[in-house]
Amino acid sequence: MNGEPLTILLVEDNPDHAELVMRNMEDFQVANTIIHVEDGEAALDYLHARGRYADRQQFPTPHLMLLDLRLPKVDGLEVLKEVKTTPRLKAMPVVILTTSDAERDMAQAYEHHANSYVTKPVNFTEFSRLLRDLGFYWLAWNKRPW
Amino acid sequence: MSLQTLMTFAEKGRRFIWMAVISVTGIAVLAVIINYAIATFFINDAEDKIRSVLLSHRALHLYIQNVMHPAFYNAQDEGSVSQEFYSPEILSSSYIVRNMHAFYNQERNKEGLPEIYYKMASVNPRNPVNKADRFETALIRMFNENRDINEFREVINIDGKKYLYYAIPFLETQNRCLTCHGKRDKAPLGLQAVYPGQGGFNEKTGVFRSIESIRVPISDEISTAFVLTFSLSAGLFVLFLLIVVNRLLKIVVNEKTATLEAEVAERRKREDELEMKNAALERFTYTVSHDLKSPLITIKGFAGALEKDLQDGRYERMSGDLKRVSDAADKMNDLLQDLLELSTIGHVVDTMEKVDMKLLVDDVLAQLAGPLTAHNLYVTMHPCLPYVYCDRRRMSEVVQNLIENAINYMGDQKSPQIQFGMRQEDGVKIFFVQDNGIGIDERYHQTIFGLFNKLDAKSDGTGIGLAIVKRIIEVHGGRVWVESEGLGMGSRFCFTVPEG
Repeated sequence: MNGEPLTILLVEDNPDHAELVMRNMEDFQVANTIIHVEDGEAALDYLHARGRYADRQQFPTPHLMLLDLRLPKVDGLEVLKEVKTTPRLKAMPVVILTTSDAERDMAQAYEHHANSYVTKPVNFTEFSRLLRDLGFYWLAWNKRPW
Repeated sequence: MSLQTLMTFAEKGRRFIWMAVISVTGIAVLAVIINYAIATFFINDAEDKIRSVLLSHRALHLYIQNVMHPAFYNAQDEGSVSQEFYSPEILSSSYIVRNMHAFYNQERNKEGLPEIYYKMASVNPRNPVNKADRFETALIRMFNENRDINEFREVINIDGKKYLYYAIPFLETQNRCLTCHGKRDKAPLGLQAVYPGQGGFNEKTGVFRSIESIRVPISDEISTAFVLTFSLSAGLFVLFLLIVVNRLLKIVVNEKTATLEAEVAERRKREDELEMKNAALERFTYTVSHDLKSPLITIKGFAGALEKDLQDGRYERMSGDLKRVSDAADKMNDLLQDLLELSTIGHVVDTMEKVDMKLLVDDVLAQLAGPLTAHNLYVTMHPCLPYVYCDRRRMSEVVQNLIENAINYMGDQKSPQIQFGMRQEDGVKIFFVQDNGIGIDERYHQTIFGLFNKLDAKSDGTGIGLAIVKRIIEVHGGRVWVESEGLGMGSRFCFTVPEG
């Protein structure tokens, strides 16, 4: 950890699930900022610093993106595709965090270079542990060149 | 095989029977013509041979009468031959020619050729050998009476064998003939001595006194003609049979191929349908499992959070978390009810009836009077909506869903308008619900009809409304789609219902 402020972009259309994720992340204090957007379009706007997310000071490029697949407007797979085909963004770790354990979804996610694929556990304890592990692994243990 | 293909098959069969009858008749007629032509050819050929034999015989008669007789009489007159001398071997042309013919047949025999029957037949012969029978007598009379006929020809049957019979009248009796054929007592003494009877005497000038006749066997030629005709006809018939069999086989094969192709196409269609149904089912299961799991995660998650808050003594969040749990349970209930609703739409076909679209829309508007008034909305309607053939309750649901959507997605439009309209395209009536609300980006024109798909996650409802609309319209055999210029431009939801 080099002391710089760490940002997570959470793309989640279900406000309850978003709340659960954010509470857990806050409890473990792995990230300085969690930004929550509710659909794929907003996620892309954020990543490209467009519209209301134009201010890079206030909305820095995330160090980790937690991405749901089934999203209104632009769906999660489309967001993933765009991230992984944009040179400036493709090094950013993208973790697919979804309710779907359909094989097709997993295959497609990895085909488009998702860094990880996890399903939301129904059990609350497991849910907490998963988020803690994710946060620590990607933001603390995982090395990045920027 | 369908009834129709069976019928065409029968029709083709009938056509073939006709073709067969015509062809067989044609072959038979052809055989008769060929047989006649070949037989005629052989008979003509035989006749030519006979005629040349008869002509050479006649030439000998003429030589004897015109050359030998004058020379002989001259010799008598000069005294080198006795006036009493007569010998048929030297002076009778009939005798000479008859005996010459015997030698001719002998020569033919040597060459392996069949004998040719020759007879000079006379009504009044010197030698009884030359006596005309009844038939020949009649012929002689016929030639005498019809001077323009100079030959007689006929195919005759003797002992089951076929012969060509040919006769020509013998030389007309002239004055000089009367030397020997006139009155008996005027004839040369030698002649009188050889022929004691009256035969050959008392002839008159200008009369045919005999015929020369010949007959040759033509059985071989006739049978050759028959064999030729038979083989030719048989060949034609076999050819015809081959063609018919070929055509019949082709029909059978084509029929079989068509049936097989139809079967394959039918099976492929069914496979495609099944595949589509499978895909739809897969999407459905996926959606359902995802959407039902979602509130479960919320319920379990916040239950856990509540427990933790309780331990940590953070009571201020607890009522909010409890509400989330309760809402998620409600949401799950809604989802389950919607699913149940969707699953029953398939039974729509049982209750199809003729429905006045105007009355139907009026009913729906009456039901929606509350929300419409609340939003200060008035729905304008096409003046003459037609009757449609549909399930009244389901069609009401479609109209209600679309108008509710128009109300819910009006946005902050200052003068909101909703129209239930109709237009015709290529003779198809298209109904539509048009609003001037928030509109829909073209990217979502397909996805909005998906199960539990919502453009705005925070809006009311589960996102099943348009999925139900789509399902109902499709069960009716119609189509549903949305037309919108984009965000802020309003939307027009269109659907068709096939006319009963």
